Amino acid sequence: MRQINAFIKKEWMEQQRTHKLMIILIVSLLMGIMAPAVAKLTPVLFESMTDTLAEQGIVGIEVGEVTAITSWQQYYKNIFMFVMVFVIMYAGSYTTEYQRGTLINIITKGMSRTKVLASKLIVQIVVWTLAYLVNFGSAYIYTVYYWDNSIVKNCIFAGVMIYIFGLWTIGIMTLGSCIGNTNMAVLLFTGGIVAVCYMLNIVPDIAPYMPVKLLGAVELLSGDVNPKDYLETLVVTAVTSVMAIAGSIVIFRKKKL
Amino acid sequence: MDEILKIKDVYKSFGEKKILDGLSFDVPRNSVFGFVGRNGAGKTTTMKLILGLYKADAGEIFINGKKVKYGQNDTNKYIGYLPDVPEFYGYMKPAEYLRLCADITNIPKEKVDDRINEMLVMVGLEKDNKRINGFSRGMKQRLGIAQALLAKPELLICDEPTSALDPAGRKEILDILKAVSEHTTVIFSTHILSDVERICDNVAILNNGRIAWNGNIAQVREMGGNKSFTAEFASNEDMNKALNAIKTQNIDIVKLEMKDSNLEKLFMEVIGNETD
Repeated sequence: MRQINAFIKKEWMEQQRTHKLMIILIVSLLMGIMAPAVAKLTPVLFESMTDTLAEQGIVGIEVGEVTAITSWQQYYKNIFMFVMVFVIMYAGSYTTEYQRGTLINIITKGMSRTKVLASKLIVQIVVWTLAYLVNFGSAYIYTVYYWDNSIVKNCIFAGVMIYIFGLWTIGIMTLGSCIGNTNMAVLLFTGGIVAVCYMLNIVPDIAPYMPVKLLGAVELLSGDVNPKDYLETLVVTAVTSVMAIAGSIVIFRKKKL
Repeated sequence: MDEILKIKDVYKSFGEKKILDGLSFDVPRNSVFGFVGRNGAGKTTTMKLILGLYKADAGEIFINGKKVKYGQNDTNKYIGYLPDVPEFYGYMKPAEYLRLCADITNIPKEKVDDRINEMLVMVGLEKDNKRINGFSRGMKQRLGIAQALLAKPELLICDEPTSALDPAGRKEILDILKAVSEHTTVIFSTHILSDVERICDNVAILNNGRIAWNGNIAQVREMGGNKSFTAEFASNEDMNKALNAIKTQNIDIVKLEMKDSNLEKLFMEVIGNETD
């Protein structure tokens, strides 16, 4: 336990001193506020431009009524990008250590590789949790402030789906980090898996089992789709996450550092 | 048990390239063991095999009588390791890094602070309380020794600890190694032969994946030591007198070498003055 604690402390110090934590939290906040802000400003923007547009012969653009749903639609439109920012920032967590050889010192001192992996996993999960809380929280607060959020169904549930997708991505990224040796390899691996999921998502019979379905949580908001329709996806996501981590441990233990 | 380290018939290739070809040698306890070979001779590979970082194709390695297994690091508890270019987390300060090491090696909590101070003083980093990012190579090498010795290992393995350093840094490192050899067995690899002569008790020369020569440094001295010596005189006058004496005695000199300038000595003097 002392080893894991010490390594978590090291990882956390890295988050703070390299400013990674601050950057991801600022990005989380900005991307969270952006969605309701865009929803709020779009009609104003169009109104101010009506005259200019009319002069150019463009008339009759109708900006529909903006509600809390519009704000959330905006939010979920950008959510994939947010997950991507997280992946790009943390894809180097293992590979920088491989390349610089910093882990050799730690391993040769008798720390088990599984504990190294566990510590990194814990810290990444904590950072993702904080980042997503800030991201979703800021979007939520602004949306509730400007509009009536009571018309939105499954609001929190939809948010939790994104959170779970993030956890799954961390699992995939960890596996990629144990297989690959460079930052780019990890990004390609993670991106590749997500891309394959998206491709399979087109096949209607397979679509319900694809973790990327979690990203489309916006369909929950209108109430047309029920949370229980996500059961298969959640089971597959959980099972593949556990498999990814188990595979990571097996590979990492034999990896040449 | 006399040997702390025993290497028996170890083979290792990377792809087609044969690095170690039946390597065998023993390292006696409480000695400074010089491991000499050309660049690429397999010194680092041997060390990584000892640490269980590489898997041997064949053969066995024993530390304190325990077999080294690849990927597991049971035997590493006896070893302190200084890699050729030690890399640390640049955002940490030396004491913070040593604390991380202390926690990983399970040094009793009440002893950690004292031990860290002791190590920092020993390697002369006690006043450098800044992030490792700003460290010079020599400072990193010294911190490397501190982390390697932190847990008071029975065996210290140093991979070319002096190769990348300036003469002053080299001398510091060699002095530290000599000092710790009182309670720790030191193995160090190098291609700088004068370093070996300076501090080693035993030497093994690695060539073509095997030990080409293995023995005591006294033996090395005996081999040529009876027939040659280096003399240094206080003045030119004295030197001429000595040479005259040789001449008048009709002594045959096979080889005479004049050192026109002792650059190393000059370098040490100049920078010695600066730091004093």
